[in-house]
Amino acid sequence: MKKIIALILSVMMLTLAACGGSGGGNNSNNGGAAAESAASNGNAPAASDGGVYVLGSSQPLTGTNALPGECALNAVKLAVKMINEEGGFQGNEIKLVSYDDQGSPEEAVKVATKLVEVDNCDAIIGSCISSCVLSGGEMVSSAGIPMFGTGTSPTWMQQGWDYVFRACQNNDFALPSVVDALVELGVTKVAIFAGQDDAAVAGSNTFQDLAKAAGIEITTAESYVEGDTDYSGQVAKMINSGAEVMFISTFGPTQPLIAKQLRQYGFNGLCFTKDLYQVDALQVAGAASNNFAFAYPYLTYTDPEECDIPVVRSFLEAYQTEYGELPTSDCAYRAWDSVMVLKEAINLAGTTDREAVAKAVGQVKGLETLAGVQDFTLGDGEGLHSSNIFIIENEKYILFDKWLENGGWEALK
Amino acid sequence: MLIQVLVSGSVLGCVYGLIALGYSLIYKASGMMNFAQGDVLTLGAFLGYTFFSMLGFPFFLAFILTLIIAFAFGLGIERTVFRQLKAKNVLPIYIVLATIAVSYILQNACQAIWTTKMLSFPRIFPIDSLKVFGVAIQTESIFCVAVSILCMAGLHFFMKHSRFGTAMRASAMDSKAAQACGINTSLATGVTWAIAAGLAAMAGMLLGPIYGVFITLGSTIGRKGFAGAVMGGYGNMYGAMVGGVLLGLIETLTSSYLSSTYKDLIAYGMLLLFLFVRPTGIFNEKAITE
Amino acid sequence: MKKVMKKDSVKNLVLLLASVLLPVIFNAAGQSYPILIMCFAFLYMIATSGLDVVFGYCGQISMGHAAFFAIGAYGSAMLNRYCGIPVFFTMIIASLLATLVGAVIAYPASKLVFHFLSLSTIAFAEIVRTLLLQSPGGITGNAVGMFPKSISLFGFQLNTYTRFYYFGLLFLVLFLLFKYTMVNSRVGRAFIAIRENTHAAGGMGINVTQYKVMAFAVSAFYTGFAGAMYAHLVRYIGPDTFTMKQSVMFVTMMLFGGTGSIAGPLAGAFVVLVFNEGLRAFEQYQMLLYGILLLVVIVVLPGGIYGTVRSIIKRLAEKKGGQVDAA
Repeated sequence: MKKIIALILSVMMLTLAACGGSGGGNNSNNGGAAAESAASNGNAPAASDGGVYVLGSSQPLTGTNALPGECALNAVKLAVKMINEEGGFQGNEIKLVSYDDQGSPEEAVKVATKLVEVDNCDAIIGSCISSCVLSGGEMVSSAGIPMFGTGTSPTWMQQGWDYVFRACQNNDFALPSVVDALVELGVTKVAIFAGQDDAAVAGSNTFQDLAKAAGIEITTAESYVEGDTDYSGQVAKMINSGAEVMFISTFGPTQPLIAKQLRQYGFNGLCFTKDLYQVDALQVAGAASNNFAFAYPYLTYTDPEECDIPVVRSFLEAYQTEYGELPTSDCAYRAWDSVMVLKEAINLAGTTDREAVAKAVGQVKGLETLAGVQDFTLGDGEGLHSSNIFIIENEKYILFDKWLENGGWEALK
Repeated sequence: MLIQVLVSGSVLGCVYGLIALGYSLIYKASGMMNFAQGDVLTLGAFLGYTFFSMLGFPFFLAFILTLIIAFAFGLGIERTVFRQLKAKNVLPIYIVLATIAVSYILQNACQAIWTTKMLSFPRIFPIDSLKVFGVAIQTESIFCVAVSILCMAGLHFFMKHSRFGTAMRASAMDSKAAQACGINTSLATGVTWAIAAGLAAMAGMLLGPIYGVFITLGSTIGRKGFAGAVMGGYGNMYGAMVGGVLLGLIETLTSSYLSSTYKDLIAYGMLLLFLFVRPTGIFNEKAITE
Repeated sequence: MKKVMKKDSVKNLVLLLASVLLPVIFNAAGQSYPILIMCFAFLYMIATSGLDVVFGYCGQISMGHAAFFAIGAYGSAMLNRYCGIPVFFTMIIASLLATLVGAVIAYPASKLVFHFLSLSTIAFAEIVRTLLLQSPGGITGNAVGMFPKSISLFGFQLNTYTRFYYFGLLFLVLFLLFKYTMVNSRVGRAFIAIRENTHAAGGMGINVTQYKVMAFAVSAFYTGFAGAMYAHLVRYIGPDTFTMKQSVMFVTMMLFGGTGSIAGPLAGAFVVLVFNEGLRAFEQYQMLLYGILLLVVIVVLPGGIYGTVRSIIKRLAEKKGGQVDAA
């Protein structure tokens, strides 16, 4: 009886070995020296295994955040294709290995382990979900593999990991401009609505600290659980607290819902979101999106014609040619920029050696990307340190300053 | 503020109630627990979107078509999956597991077929919102409430007073005895699942304009609907509605007056309390013993 | 009797030997990823065996075991971080904590049956998760989570997968031995009696509530310990890990492998894990295929793998006319 079980188990173990080996069949680290002990890892061989550069990707391809993940992956694929056409990284063809981290930290760790150990990646474009970057970050950094996370929460850059970088927005850097704008408008009372994921909480906390320091009162801070779609209780409380402006710190899919519910229950004033108010949210919420503002380096569009920034426009056109539609999530921009910064770093380093590339990232300066000009010389591993503010008027994005000039704030009051 | 909270809580509760009806129905008529109701809701929303928005059919037609497909789905699932399981006389927990598998499949199939984007379901009514007790409520929400109440009354009448409904209940209580009485138990069970699927899909179509259409639309609502069904008395039609509304009210009241962070905690805490103190629910519905 | 025991023991010994040699083989081939998967397999096997005690043997559904998994994981991490207790002892203490919670929740829950019981376990798990997400004073790290250290046994650090593997194997064997002893004892028989017919069991003088609580408590210890193992293997825990999906995963693994046996949960945990890994190559279709495979297996092979294998053996043995193994 148990013999049969043993037989089946052994067959399965062999299958498992086959699965495990499918990713690369390479003889990387000797068994136990797994990524955990920081000391051991000088032995990771330099990239090129016969002229191939392995680029790993970990994105949520299923679940609530499948949309941003998919956009990010598409952008990476496009970038890889274009760079390969130009000859790859230092003459090495880029091979993309992509996995679905399902937006779950546990899966992210498994994916990170697989990318590091089985696929032997030379660099990784990390998840747009900050908690996933957090969970996998330690192991990737101790393995000495450069990773560009595409999430926007400040936390994962605060862990002291030398090999983790960010080429997109850090919410902490954008919020000061939001608070400054509020102070200029003479706003004194703000209510907060935040999710419970890492980026939302970090955004909310940073905003609260900055606001209090600037003399703005936080009348109430409400939260919701992911999966919930009705916020009437929270909205009632926020409106009744006497707030003049609302600060919304949530995932993308929640934005149109809270917008609609706020407007429905009678609040038509100014609202700030912690990051981009996406174009598909705009479509779903329609007129309820008006007077939503945010500080963000870029916008999403429904048509390349609407974009007047040349570098963004050519990206959009290329994306549209390849996929037949425009990216709905800005995660595409984040991922694209990450690959571009990586490319620049490899150029500066003159080699694909991981350690050299990681050091070279710190020298990237003046690189024009979709987000603006990136500068890593400040040494914090971040390329962007400020951003624009946009607002939605008549269901279109315009620059906040322009809106102010046109008397938008006066009209609202 | 209290009026606003009560009204919106009741509206939310009616949504839960509609889902709860589906759960109670399946239990009453076949003795099984089904974890896939929430995802059938999502499927209904997507189907409705396809017919109403993409193909441009008039709402009524889109509604009927979605219901037909949902019916067929419910029948199909019952015939292929659950009949086999029942025939093999497995533990009921395996059936629960099968419904969980169906739930995974539905969610991911919807993603594969449609998209990961959040889709915009156009408004059904030309009027944006109506004022109820001085509170602005989206017209579609009111429609939802009306439909829920209709369904509740209709189903209750059907189950208790109609021949077929009674046949369904008999099949659930003791299928061999029911067969001995000449009841077509297989048809009864199939119809049960079909109606339940139809209910969920209907709820999905009604929620589409309010919340937008996306793959995880139904999951949390499904679970809350389940909780509502149990609170009201699992298997009781009135109970499902009342339980759902009660849950909606508790949630909304808690988040406005107490704390939105612990809203779920308090709602689930109340549920636990209910279960420990009065498991048969408000309407004192006895459980079907194995 | 002794002869049967001996046959069993030989088979078990062979299996054990194979397990011990496995990492050596993998390491020689330079593959440490499969070893990581086996580490996960071990801790899931322990957790699933625990669930099997309360469901397979005692007949009580629990759809909320992720709560105990979480208590074990967070408990161990927090005790280590805030009280400085060395990691291994924190695991024991955290598991005992989980046991306590399990016992407390089991008292009122023991009066419930079927869907009431499952719903109360779901509610309980949700409450625990909400507390993790919004803990007073942020002691659980709330949304950010915690970064537990690796296990250290008297200064010996278990910071490679291979070392963790042997640790896991050792404890799996210990837990299985305990389970075997328990289910073959008076306690085990009481569980089975309760599972088969609660009223009759009560009528025979078995203190049903006491045994139900015991089953829950033991099961909570197992799953709590598995949770602690998880925390110190993955070295990152966050509230997102301990959702209902995790509870469903445990139930799936148990049912897949077959309930009410020693080997069943092991096979189930292993196979489901391998399924998931094997499907990883399909990127966004991973979950869809997982659902389909799951459904197919349930419909085609109810009774789980172990049950199916058992019936195959039975049929073969009947054909041969030989003696059916009382496994």
